[in-house]
Amino acid sequence: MFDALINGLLLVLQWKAFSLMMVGMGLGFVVGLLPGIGGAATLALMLPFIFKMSPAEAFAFLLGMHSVAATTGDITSILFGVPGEAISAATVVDGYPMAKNGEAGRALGAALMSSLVGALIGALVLALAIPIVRPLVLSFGSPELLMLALMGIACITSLSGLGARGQIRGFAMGFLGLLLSTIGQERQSGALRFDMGLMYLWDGLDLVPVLVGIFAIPEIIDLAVRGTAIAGERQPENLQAGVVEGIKDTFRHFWLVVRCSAVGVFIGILPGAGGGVAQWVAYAHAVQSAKDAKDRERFGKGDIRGVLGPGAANNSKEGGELIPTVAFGVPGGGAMGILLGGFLIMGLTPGPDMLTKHLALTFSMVWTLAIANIITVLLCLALLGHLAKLTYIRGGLIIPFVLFLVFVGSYTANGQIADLIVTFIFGSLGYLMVLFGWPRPPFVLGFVLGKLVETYLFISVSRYGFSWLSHPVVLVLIFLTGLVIAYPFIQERRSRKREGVGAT
Amino acid sequence: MRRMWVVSLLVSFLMIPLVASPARSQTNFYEGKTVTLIIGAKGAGSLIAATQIVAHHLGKYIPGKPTVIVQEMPGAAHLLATNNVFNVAKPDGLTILASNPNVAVAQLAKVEQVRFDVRKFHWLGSTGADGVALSIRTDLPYKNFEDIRKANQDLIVGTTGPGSNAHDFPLLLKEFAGAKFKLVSGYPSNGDVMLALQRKEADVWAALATTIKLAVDQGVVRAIVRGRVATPGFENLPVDEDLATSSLGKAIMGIKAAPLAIGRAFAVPPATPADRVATLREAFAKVIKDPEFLAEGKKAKIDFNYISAEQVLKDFTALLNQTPEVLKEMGKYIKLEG
Repeated sequence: MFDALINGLLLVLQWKAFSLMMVGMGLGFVVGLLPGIGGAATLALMLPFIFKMSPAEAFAFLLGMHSVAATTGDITSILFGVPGEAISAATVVDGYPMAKNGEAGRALGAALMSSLVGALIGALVLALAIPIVRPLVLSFGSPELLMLALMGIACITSLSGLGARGQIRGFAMGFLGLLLSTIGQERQSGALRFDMGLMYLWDGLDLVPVLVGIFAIPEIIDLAVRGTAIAGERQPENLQAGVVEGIKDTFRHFWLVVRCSAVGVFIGILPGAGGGVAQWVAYAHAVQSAKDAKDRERFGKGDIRGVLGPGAANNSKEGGELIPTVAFGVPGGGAMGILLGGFLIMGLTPGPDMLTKHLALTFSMVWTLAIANIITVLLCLALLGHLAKLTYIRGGLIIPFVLFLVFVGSYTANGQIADLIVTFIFGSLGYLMVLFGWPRPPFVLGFVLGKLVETYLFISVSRYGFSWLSHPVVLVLIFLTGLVIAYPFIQERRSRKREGVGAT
Repeated sequence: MRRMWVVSLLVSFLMIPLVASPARSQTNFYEGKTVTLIIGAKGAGSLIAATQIVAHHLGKYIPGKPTVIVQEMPGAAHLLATNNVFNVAKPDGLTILASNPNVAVAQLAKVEQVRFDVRKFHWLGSTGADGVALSIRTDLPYKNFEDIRKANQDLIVGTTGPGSNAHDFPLLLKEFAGAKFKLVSGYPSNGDVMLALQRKEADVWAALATTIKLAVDQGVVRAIVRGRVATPGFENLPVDEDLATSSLGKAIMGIKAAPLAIGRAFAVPPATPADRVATLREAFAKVIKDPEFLAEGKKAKIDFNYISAEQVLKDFTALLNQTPEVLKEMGKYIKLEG
């Protein structure tokens, strides 16, 4: 195994593979900055170029491009509140308020550094986990995956405001998200639901236009109304100092970053969970780490921990997602699906062979993820200072540019005018939600997890009846879900008690 | 409706140097142009991989050596792309549909959204038929179809949902050949079904023969029944249509088998000038004999076999010619792919 580890590194460091990785990274960098055009779309476009490459070269090229896009996606999330990719929407929640507070440099520094730590932990865990990965994945059947999705939904309690009012609003939004996720053709019977006679809706609402609309449009309206720069009328911060501060933050909250990286890897390893989920669970975990109710209220208003959590999980899950893709041929996410297309063209079969006969190649993928992330973060850190200046440009000049990014991003989802209409509708919805104080993250969580819950609930019940409820792993997950739901309340009570003790 | 024009443009620019064509004295329609292969799916999958491989080689056999690119236009189980090429695309021989022949079944079922007639496309030919096979976990005692008929309990079939081969093939065997199956549908992809087999959550799995072959080679499943199209290694398996116990069942299995037999067929819009259709047909026939093309197909484990344009049209016409009785029953068992 150690041999394979070294051989994998040597495969990446061959000049041809390495230079192809750099080319891929260059492309990924440009595309990652454009919101919405995720790694998946770029990978699909680049597939025709791998015909003449060896497998190690092809995967260095494709994964190099992909891992950069995951990191740079955070940049527009923080600077403009426009999710650079479907998988970096959680960064908006605290990252953009930081930019508004004049701390864009710090937020960017933190996002990049936590991404790097996340990627490295992800790669490390991946390398260590390879011997046990098959039994681990095989122990998660449909009922277990269902419970995991439900546990994700239970995170709503942490993503909503405190108190009964906040919780009710949070769950109402979560259910709205669940409801909207049912639009389109149902997987079990093929029936069309809420399609309104439109072919566009057969495949359901696409995540990208929905996210971009719901997060970016309200911020653009807000910016237009305020009539100032994104960072208000502050004097520009000392950017270099801000970035350094952000890097330090990563190490100040190092255990949080490590835990969120672990969350990312674990969710990535489970097939079907998808990249959209990891960042929100990590964000919820960051919120749970708040010491008391007062501390918790800082989230959503520009708390550095809200940037660190999703940033770390986003990149660590890339390593995790490789596992089901490589070992079982089940893509861990959209981009991994395209990577499977690459396997096909290369004549490789995903399966146990990838963990034995082709182990060096699998390790070369892990190495690519690690090396590409290190290079990207170093490059970004060098350029960051200039990027953060954008938040000090007058709103009137920046709005057309951001709107352009928003609509190009949405349009690339399916290349249809309807994508723009969806963005507009969800932009309006998002604006109303902000205006009346209804939280957006629970909506997104419900929307992302709705399809998974439905799929696995149906399969679990039709396969096992109700006996699936007695599976041991399911029981453990039910207990954990209860804990996730109850945690904010326990926390609240404990802090009240502490206050009571302090008063006497 | 054009997907990702920005990025397509980018790709066309990137690809120009790759196919730098020698200067030609005669003016030629295709010289310096871009031919677009439109496919109604996105992501991975053997249809997309096959189309990519065709795109990789088609240009060199068309006089003028145009650039050939693949454009994904996903939506409504290939209907969106098929409608688009039939009605919207310019019939100038620069837009080619990489079809999924299942759309003919939608036309047969008179699905409201169908705005094309497969018989009016100019077909260029097909790169080969797809075989389908049904398999069962190797650790189970059932060795052949007769064992499955006599099974004491229903065997669990994992499927990706109505309309897919994974679902319809076992469904018809259950309804018309007496297989003891219980279908659990809704797995997101074939990979997920195979994972379910390894977890012992599912017992039986049907898919394209090439996909099943890989799982057989890994020792996960053994193949039991195949569809009409024979693929290497599976020639001796019983064919589903022969197992059917009624003529109605056989007819409905036939409807499901026809698109697979047509396979990965390509077409241009109805009003395309005849000389360009002829040019493209000729180029297409040459591509499928190209040794490099065949080698890439072999690597991707896709069997390429040339099926002529006439044969494709003949098969579509036969498929659409069904008796009212069969048409009426068909709707119960065959639905559109999700």
